[in-house]
Amino acid sequence: MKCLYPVAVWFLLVLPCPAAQFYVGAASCDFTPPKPVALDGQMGTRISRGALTPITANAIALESRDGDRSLASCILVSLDMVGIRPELETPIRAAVKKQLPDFEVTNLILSATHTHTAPVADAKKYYIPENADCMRPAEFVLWAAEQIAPAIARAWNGRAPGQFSYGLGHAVVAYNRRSVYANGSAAMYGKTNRPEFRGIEGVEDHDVNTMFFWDASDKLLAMVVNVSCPAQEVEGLSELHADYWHPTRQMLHGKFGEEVCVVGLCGAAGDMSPHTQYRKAAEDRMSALRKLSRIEEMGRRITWAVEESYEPAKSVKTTDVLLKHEYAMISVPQYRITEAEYKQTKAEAESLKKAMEKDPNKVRLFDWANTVVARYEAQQTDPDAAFDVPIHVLRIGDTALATNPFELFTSYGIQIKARSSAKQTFVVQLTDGCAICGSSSSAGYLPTAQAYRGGGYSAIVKSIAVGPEGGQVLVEETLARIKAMW
Amino acid sequence: MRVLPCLFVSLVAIVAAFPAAGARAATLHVGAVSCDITPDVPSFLAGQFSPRVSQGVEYPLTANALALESREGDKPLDSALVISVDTAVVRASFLLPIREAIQQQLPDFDLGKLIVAATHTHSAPPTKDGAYRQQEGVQVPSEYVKFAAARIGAAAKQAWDQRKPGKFSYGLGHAVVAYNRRAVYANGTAVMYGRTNDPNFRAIEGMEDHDVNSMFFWDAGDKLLAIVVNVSCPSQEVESNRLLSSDFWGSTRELLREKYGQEVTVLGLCGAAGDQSPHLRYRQAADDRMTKLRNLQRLQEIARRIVRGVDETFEAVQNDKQEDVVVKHLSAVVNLPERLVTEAEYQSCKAEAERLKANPDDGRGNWNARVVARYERLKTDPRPLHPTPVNVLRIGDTVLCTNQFELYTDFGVQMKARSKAVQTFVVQLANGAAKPQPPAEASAEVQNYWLYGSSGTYLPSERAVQGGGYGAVIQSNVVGPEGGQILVEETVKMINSMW
Repeated sequence: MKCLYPVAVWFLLVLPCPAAQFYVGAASCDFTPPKPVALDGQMGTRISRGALTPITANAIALESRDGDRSLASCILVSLDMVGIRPELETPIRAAVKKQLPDFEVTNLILSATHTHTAPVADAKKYYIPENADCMRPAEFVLWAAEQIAPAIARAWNGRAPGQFSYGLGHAVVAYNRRSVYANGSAAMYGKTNRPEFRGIEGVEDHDVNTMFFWDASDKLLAMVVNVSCPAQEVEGLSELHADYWHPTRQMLHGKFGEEVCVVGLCGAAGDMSPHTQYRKAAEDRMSALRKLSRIEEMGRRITWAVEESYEPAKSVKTTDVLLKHEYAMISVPQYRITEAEYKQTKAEAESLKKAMEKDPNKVRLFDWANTVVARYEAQQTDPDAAFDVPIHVLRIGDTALATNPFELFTSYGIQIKARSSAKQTFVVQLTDGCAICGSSSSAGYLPTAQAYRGGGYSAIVKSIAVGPEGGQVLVEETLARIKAMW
Repeated sequence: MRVLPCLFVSLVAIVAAFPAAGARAATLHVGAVSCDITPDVPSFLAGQFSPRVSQGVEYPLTANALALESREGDKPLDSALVISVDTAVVRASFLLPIREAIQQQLPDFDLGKLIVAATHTHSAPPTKDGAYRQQEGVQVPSEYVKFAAARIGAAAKQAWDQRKPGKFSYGLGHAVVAYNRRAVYANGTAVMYGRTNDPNFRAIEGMEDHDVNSMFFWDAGDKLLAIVVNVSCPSQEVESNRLLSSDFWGSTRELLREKYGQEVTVLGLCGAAGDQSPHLRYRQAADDRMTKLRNLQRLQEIARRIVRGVDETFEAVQNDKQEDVVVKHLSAVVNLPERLVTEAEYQSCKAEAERLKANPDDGRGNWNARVVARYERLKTDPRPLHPTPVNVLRIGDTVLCTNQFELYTDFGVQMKARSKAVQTFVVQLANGAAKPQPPAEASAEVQNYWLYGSSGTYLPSERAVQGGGYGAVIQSNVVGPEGGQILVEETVKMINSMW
């Protein structure tokens, strides 16, 4: 079990700040690799054939100050990546530390949009042929950190007295991707036009949570846009692509100004996808009539939701903003692998190991299975093992922003929102590195008990390191921290 | 004895099946009219177990009628009359007088082509006598029915007589207005409107469907005549008030008419939404804050969202109008197995009915007593069937399919997912009667059950029955998940036979 912060189990920065001044800075950068790279997000290797859109990082620095005294601070960064792997996070934090030696790097929140068409950070994840003319993951992460850290520093160094407001709009962009069948089984992207199809497994969350930040002269500097939908509409491409966030940012820049920094954050969406799950003909017809591609259509919907929030929100912007931040490593019980799961997965791993001799591309599938085997064997000596999981809780005025590193099923996000003490709660998944699962993207999926019973990719042992029991711990730990801030 | 002669032909029999193959392009004729059916005297308000008497009007109650006919030259090919009514349910005690009124006004019109659907407002008069203990000065429900049916009949005639060559388009927008109202807890139980800030709250039980399906009808001169707006949300945001109100359809129609013209007829049709409600289920503070910042009330906020769903669609489809539009209508009576009452349910309902006898104003007494009677009837009819009307109306590449229930959204999603139409409009709480009326000498309990079954009872999914709670308990259902699946299969079969 790896842990980014080996010593501290808790690290608190909870400071009340009466009569504080609110500072804001924002910056973006393009870290599209200059050479081909291996793309992350699928089971097989894809070497990029160019870039269809830039791959970007977008940072907002926040601080509350009492005169010269810093009361609370954080930098929130959205990255066009599939996840925040330690292989990328560590060099970013190191580079930021170099640029901002006085900044406490645990106050740096790194979150992934989950695009499946960005570079891979984990050198071992995919088979990359020796002779492939591409930038290797180890080279990419160092190069990327050198691009991203200066942007973070710019955001921090550029902070100035600012104003804040927030709002809630709606956009139907995420679809629950798990189909349930008559026999009780569930399948990710399972066909919905089969006679055995009985329903969509769970609810969707179409909230578009927004935060807006202005400078003292009412110039809009940045916005946070929190959508419970992973950026993977064009996940099958072999080109670099920021997915729906690219047209969304373009449209938002067109409406609000080219210099506005747009921080796209993914809400709890482990069971969600932008892929249309049913009545596709009707959806596709509308996109065609509008002469929009699917990701442009998504951009249109999200942009509308931001606009409908912005209009009311800007009328109540304020400089009087309470800022609190807490970073914690919480202990979450790992999913206990059953003997049957172990045996089945071990057989798969052995078969894949053989297959790898002929087809080295199978390494991803092999690792996926073999991690389960290793975890089960470790479980024999430590059956109650828990994982240290990084979370951040941020209070900004009447809002709370709570992060986790999982592909968190939406029901957990709804629990957090429903029980939160905040007026509006932003749940953000895939944040901060946590390689507990051996998963290449994050801490793995975190399914509900219902999903676990239904099975299928994302709710099977290979997809998860933490199960429903741990999910509930995550909810309770998060809520306790939010509550403590009110 | 009154019966519904056009509806009862046979089990699962297609009443009016036109040739399925070779659908001919034809000229579309359209007529549309609205009428006001708001009573001008105090009335009970239907929708709650306890009686409420109206103290005024918030938004008028209306009926909105759309007449469609396809013609080849002078030859009519097929037709339909779709009427959306601001009422809770279309039970026999309302549907039969509406049908009679239409038949009187339009003696040549085939009543098998009539679709009457309720918006499910909980702020309209009841349509059966005895729903609440009659009070002095309060309109008797059957008097209201006479008044409303006469107006609806006249509006239907006007819409039918006004039909003229028209144009059609359709589209899909979205509006987050329906929330799944069933909260699931750690012990596996589910509760309608259960608290979501409870530490044992685990999830929302199922799906929501935020589609805003729209149809637009213009005359030959491109004047917009009518809009069909199909939202999977019952119209019950202000369900506890004491004002007559068409609920969010009132505010929505007002806003749509401001945008599209005061003469445009707006047919609000409720999609499969047995487990849905417009009530906010969580993060209410955030939603309420936005509504307040917009200086809106909740009904206006819902309207704003639906109108946006219509606007975004209209902008995209207004240049895609068609004149040659296939119109085909099928109707059938489908026999669904009733949900069987178990011994334990019987005992529990019997005890509850006994307990509530002391309070005749509490509608839960009848609610439980009906289950007791059902159980006792099982001795003579162990596998009772519930005949239910299904209408399927193809308009161009779209289809509109109806059922009588408060149908859980999962079933509607199945229909949409398996339909061959480019876009499928599922409409619940429509044509709520198919069982022949019992003879006059039948007991009050039998009459009562017939009327109850003719309305829009909940039709829950399997997972809902497992979780229990209002809407999925035996008292709430005549038909259970088994019947729901048959309804899906038969509806899909009828839809797909048209392509």
